[in-house]
Amino acid sequence: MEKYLSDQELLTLCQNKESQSYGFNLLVRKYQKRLYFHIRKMVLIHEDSDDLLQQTFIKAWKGIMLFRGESQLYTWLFRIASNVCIDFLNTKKKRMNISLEEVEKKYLNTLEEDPLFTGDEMEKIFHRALLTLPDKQRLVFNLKYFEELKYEEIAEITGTSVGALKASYYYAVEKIKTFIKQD
Amino acid sequence: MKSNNPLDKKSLHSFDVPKGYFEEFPSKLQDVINSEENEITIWEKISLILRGRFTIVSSIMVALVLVILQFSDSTKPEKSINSEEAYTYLSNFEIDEYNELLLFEYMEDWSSVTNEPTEDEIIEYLMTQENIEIEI
Repeated sequence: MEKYLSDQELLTLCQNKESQSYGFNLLVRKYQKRLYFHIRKMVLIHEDSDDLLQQTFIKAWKGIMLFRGESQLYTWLFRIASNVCIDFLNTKKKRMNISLEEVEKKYLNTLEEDPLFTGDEMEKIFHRALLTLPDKQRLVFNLKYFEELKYEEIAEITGTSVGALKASYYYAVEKIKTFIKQD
Repeated sequence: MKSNNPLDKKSLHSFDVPKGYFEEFPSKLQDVINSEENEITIWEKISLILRGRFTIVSSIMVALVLVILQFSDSTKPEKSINSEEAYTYLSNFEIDEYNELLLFEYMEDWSSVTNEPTEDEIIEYLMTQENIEIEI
């Protein structure tokens, strides 16, 4: 198993001009998988995820010198990745100029046809249920359910209050349960 | 009892990636960052050059405006001619003999302009190639 430096050690390396490239390379290696799968669950397609993961790290590279450590390094990275995903999904919907139901259908088809989806039938149903959630609610659900982040951390990432997040997560779970029962 | 609820069975690996993706990603990203950095450097160079030129050009423009303003001040008439002075000048102006001769010659030609042309003259004028080209 790979051993990674602590976030503080990575940050020290990244904010020093001489070790910046080396430190950032280590940071990428530490967080690439977590961020990739977070993005992938939001946008489904590998090529889009790859592009958005690059965008996330490029933004992080440009902003790392200004990062003052007011939040955790990983919550900062997740915030960048989440914003990149939401912007991408909004732009895609506007460009496609279709209704939300049609967008949902397209997502479902993407999931059905994805050769890189390796989940079983139950997981497919679960992901189909997730796709019925609005993007921001899906983001909150993913961060809580898959990433197991605390509400306080999700609040930092999404810029939403803890109370609103708890409500959003509760309704997301209810919607998913209803969808699975109906399916 | 085994649960059938997908919410109870958390799978983090429903999606796969192409072989070697995570091994190659850091170096691929480094290439993208390097090319972006080069773009920034080139742009910074251009903006520096442009900024330098802009300073030179704006200095020249300011100098030109100052020169023009200075020049336009010196070309201003000292005083304007009033109508009384103009009348006196024209009354005192005498046409000499040579000028009179030119004036008579001009008056003789003037008849061809003041007389109405005949229809044949108009057709002849219009049919001449040179005149057609002039009209075009």
